[in-house]
Order: sequence, then C-alpha cells, then structure tokens
Amino acid sequence: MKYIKIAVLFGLYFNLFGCINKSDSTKKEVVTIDFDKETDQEKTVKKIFFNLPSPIEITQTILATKSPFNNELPNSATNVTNYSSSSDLALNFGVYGADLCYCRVYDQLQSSISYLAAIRKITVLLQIPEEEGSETINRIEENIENRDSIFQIIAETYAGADGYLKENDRDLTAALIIVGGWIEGMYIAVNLLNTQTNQSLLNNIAEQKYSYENLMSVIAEYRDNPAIAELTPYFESLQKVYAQITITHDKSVVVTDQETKVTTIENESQISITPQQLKEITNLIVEIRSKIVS
Amino acid sequence: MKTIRTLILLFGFIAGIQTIGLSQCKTFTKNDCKPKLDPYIYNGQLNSAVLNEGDFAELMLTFYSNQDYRIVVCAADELGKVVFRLVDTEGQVVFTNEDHGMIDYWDFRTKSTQQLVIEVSVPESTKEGELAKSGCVSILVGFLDNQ
Repeated sequence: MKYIKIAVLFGLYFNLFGCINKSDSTKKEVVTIDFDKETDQEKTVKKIFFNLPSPIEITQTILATKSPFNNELPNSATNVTNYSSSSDLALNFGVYGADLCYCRVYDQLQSSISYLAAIRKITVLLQIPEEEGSETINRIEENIENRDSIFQIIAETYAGADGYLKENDRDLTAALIIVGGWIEGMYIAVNLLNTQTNQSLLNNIAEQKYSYENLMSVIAEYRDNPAIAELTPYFESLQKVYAQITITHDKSVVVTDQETKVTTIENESQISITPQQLKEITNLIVEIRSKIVS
Repeated sequence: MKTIRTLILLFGFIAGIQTIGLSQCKTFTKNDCKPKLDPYIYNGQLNSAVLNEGDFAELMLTFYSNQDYRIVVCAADELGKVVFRLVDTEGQVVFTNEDHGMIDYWDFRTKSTQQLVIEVSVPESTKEGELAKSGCVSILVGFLDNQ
C-alpha cells in the first residue's frame, strides 16, 4: 500500500481552441504530495479535473425552459474584428462558442453560419492547427442542417482542442475560453429571465452555483494573468452572492420504469434565491460580459 | 553542473512521457470510448488520465434536471475491469457497476439538477513481483437531445 496522496487539480477540457501566448506555459497541474500515512480505507486519490458545463449543455437547458430566441443577446459576429490580443480572442472564442450553440439549438441557421465565420477568423488569428480548427469548421458547415451532427462536431472539437491545449501547455487559453463561454451562457440566461417569469430558468441560474465553485478554482489558478486579474473582482463579488444561495436535496432514490426502462434519480431539490440576489447576479454578469466583448 | 544537466534531462524526459501519455489517451478515448456513447450526444468534455493499478480517481459532474444522460467509464484493457460508482453529495451510492456485471456505462436521468461524484477504482494486481501496470481511463458523458 502506497502512502502517497496525490491531488491532481485541473485539466481544462471544455471549449474550443487557443492562442499562442507566452504566459500559457504556466503550470498546468497543481500536484501536492503528502507522505502522511493514510488509513486502510483511504486510497490514492486523483481528482482528474474540475468540470464546468459546456455551452452545449447550458443552451440545452435554456431551450428546455421554452424561452423564445432573442437575436439581440449574442455578441455580434462582426465584433470579431475588434479583438486582437490573445486573451481577448480566447475569451471571445468562448463567447462565440456559446452563441453558436444558442443559435443552433433554436435552428437559427444564418446566425450559426455567421458565428462559424467568426470562429474561423479567430482560429486563424490564434494559429490553431488545421486538424484542430478549420477542418472541423468545414464539417460543421457541411452538416449545418443536421442538429445532432452539429452538436457532435462541436463536442468533438471541444475534446480535440482540450487535448491539443493540454499537450501544448496552453491551459491558460483553455481557462479563458471556459470563462468566456460560461459568462455568455449566463448572460443569455439572465437576460431571458428579465423578460419573463420562469421558475425553471431562475432555478437554472441558481444551479450555476455548482459550476461557479469550479469556475472560481480556474480563476484562482490564473489570477496572475492580466485578463483574469481584471475580471477577478467581479467574480469575487459574484462568489459572495452565490454563497448566499442555498440548494438542498432530498435523499436520492433510484427508480427504473419497467416499461420504458428509463432509470431516474428521484429526488426533489429546494432552491432559495431572492430577487435581490438575482438582480446582483444579473448586474455582475452584464458588467463582466461587457468587459469581455467590448 | 553535471547535476543540473541531469536534472534538466530528467525533467525533459518526464515531460516527454507525459505528453506521449496524454496523446495516447486522446487517441484511445476517440477510438475506443466515444463510440460507446452512441446514440447519446457527447458533451465534449475530455475527462481522461493515465492511471496505475490500485489508483482511485474521482470527478464531480453536474447533471441537469430531466435530461437523459449516459456515462461511459472506459479503461485500457491492461488495467482490467475497473469499478465505477456514482455518489451523491450526501455520500449515498446511487449506482455501482459491481451490481451490474461490471458494465462500463450507465444510462439515467435526474429529476432535479444535482452534482454527482464519479469514483473510479483500478484493481490492484494479485500477482506478486509483477510491474505495476498503467493505462488510460476516460470518463465520458453524453446526453440526448430531448427537443
């Protein structure tokens, strides 16, 4: 029995592509080795990584709320010409990734194509290898009519880029893309809620408390980066609001429907979020998003 | 000076090994694991790592209410059958493949959005004196487009 406890925190595996940036070669894994003796029940533990929902999942949950499509919410694809620094490009790559998913789940084909073009431009600017970038975008264009194919291709692209970034010590880029994608998903959600009363959407925003905790770990890891440093005070304010939101669950019961063979984890949750908390979250998300896209 | 050069070479060697390992894991995941998600849509999160015999890994994931999910825990053949369990935030085990013939996937939906921890245990070799084996383990999540 080894008496080694390894906690490998991190692996940024979510969104698309990256950029050439010296500061990308920051340490990608935090490894702590504790030689203290463990009890027999304890085992070598490797936390493979933290996880955040991809834009695909976020926009899927928005779609499930039956909110109508709002074409004023996504960042305009024409803004792509405004971004030049590697940090801005990476952040807005995440933003456009979320916007693409948002448009695609609502079958907004023309908008989807515009976002593809924006992503293609950023891909070129970031010098993404052909097999990780443009090739995939070509496949998306060829399959634009097929929703499932699009999701599959986007997902493959994420995974391919994750691997690429990790192999090339560019985790900071991945972190920036994660931040951009998450913020854009939240921006769409809080704005949709501004125009309607939708408990499901409200719950969805509150439930991002889970993702947020992981996101803050990403922020903390890269706080020395100027782009992250500029956003950090806003994220810390957001953290304080989310800390006040409570989500509790009843005991889990796993039930399998004998007819449909669908297995469900049956448990209710109780979510507590006040109008003031929602307002604070909305304001902070709008501020952060404005800094990213402007 | 010689010591420094040795250290640099050692770090270079380790870095090279890591890169090769990650690259192989990526290929393994794409070719051997991703097809097991079908017909579920891959969520694009590449959760893979090289684990050794006796290792225990965990990954916390968020699952959204009323979505249909498939989790695939896919391990390189040399590691043997790995055990995976899903545990809720209260520590209650909601699934273990030990009760289902060591199957390498599970399909389910959740009534409410929640976080679940996926725990993966790689069995230890029972043969004494044998070198510890290592291999890639990937945890993939797919969902159905319910629209």
